[in-house]
Amino acid sequence: MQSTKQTSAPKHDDEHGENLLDHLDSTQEDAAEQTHFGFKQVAKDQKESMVADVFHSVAAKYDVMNDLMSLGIHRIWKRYTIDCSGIRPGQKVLDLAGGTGDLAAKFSRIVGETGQVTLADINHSMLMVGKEKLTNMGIMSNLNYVQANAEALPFPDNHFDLVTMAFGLRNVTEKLNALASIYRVLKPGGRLLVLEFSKPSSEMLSKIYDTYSFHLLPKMGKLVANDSESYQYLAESIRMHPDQETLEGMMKEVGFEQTSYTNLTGGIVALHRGFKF
Amino acid sequence: MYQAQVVTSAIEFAMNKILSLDEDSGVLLQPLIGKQCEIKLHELAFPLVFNFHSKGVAVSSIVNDGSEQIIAQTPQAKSQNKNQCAIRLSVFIINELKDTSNITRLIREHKLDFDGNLQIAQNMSALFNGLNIDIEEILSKHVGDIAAHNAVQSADSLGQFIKRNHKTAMQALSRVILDDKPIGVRPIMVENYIQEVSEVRDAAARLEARLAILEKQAKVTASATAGKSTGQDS
Repeated sequence: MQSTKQTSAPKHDDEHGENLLDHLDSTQEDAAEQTHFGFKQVAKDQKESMVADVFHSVAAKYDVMNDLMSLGIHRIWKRYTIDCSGIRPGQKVLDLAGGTGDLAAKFSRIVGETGQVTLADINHSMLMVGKEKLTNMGIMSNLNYVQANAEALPFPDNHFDLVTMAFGLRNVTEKLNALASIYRVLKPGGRLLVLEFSKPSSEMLSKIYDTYSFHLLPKMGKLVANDSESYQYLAESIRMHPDQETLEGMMKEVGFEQTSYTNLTGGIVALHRGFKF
Repeated sequence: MYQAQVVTSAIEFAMNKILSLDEDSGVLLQPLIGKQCEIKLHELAFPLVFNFHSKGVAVSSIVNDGSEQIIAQTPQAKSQNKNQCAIRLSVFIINELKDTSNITRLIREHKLDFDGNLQIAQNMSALFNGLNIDIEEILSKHVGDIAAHNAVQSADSLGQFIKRNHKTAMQALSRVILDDKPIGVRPIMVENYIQEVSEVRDAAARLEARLAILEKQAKVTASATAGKSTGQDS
């Protein structure tokens, strides 16, 4: 079942930019601090390369494993995200942490020749797999590829009508920095959609899901991709990711308004929405 | 749960499959590339959004989360009208749309509502009416020429049989409706009958009440008479 919650954020004020800069400065000072990598504690400046290693390892089998792990339901979640995007021909879309380009392919069809889709990912291997897949699908003219860190997006201010991030935010070291960076590149009236694993709403489902992800998932990873550790990290990183309410709060904190979220498949995944006005 | 996403996914798959069966579909698709058509069927809870591209069509829906009003306020939403059209109609009038002279009447009867670039809808209609799929050729690749020919011939015969019998059945049905209509029970007759029944019920209730009063009076009179005669005796 899907359940949606919506609350209004306070108006974005002029002081907000300064607060954000202060926050960014303080996070830079904290570079030597610890952060989580799955259940492990690692130095903040190490997480990026460790996550990169995981995705270098799984890139080739990423689509197969997604279908296998979610029994194909990830396609429905992505379609739901597209249906929530309100995107129109001629608009500009940034598919952040776009990986193998499932969302970018659909958006490219919708925005047409007059629109533009940018597929961005921090991981070169994932980006190359995505590029090859989309080129084979004949999608080229309105699509470009950028290797970019979500925390410091290399795009002008007020540039995109829509930014999507599917199953990527939990791997970002400083999530607030990434959300602030996305806020900056969105046009006024633009929206952010974050599709990410979240907290199941029922205790029963949570137990089943835990058993599945900690016992079955690494075994499937070992069997199909010959890599159980990466899929162990996947399960752990999902548990360490902020729950629905916390993530919505973070979106509000960087300035997003009219924020809301929809639980998909009992909260295993949640789609968060926020607007920049 | 995810009804819209499953339906749009199935429609997209079917439409692209059909388009791929006609090698010349690209020509008909050409004027639609980059265009969007939103169709809202009265019978379906969600709209269907068709986005045409050089390889076919992408079908999606719109999740009503209140954001449409927000986007409608933005200037770019209004400037997209030449690439977009929106149609609201009932699935039962799709057949009537084949005859373009019906369109004005349907709009006047509020059975069809239209917004945006009409050319997109016309090109979309032309695309699907203009498809020329050689089923025999496609089948022959899998089952051989003779089997494909026989299958198509049989399907044609079956189709004609159904068409012929459908026409006869419809004629018989309309005859039955026209001939039997006068002796059939009409709604006004049912209403009259219900009214008469309730009048009879009310009259019966009134009579029952009157009888009860009379019975009570008779009992009082009888006991009074009995009391008098006892007094005289003593």
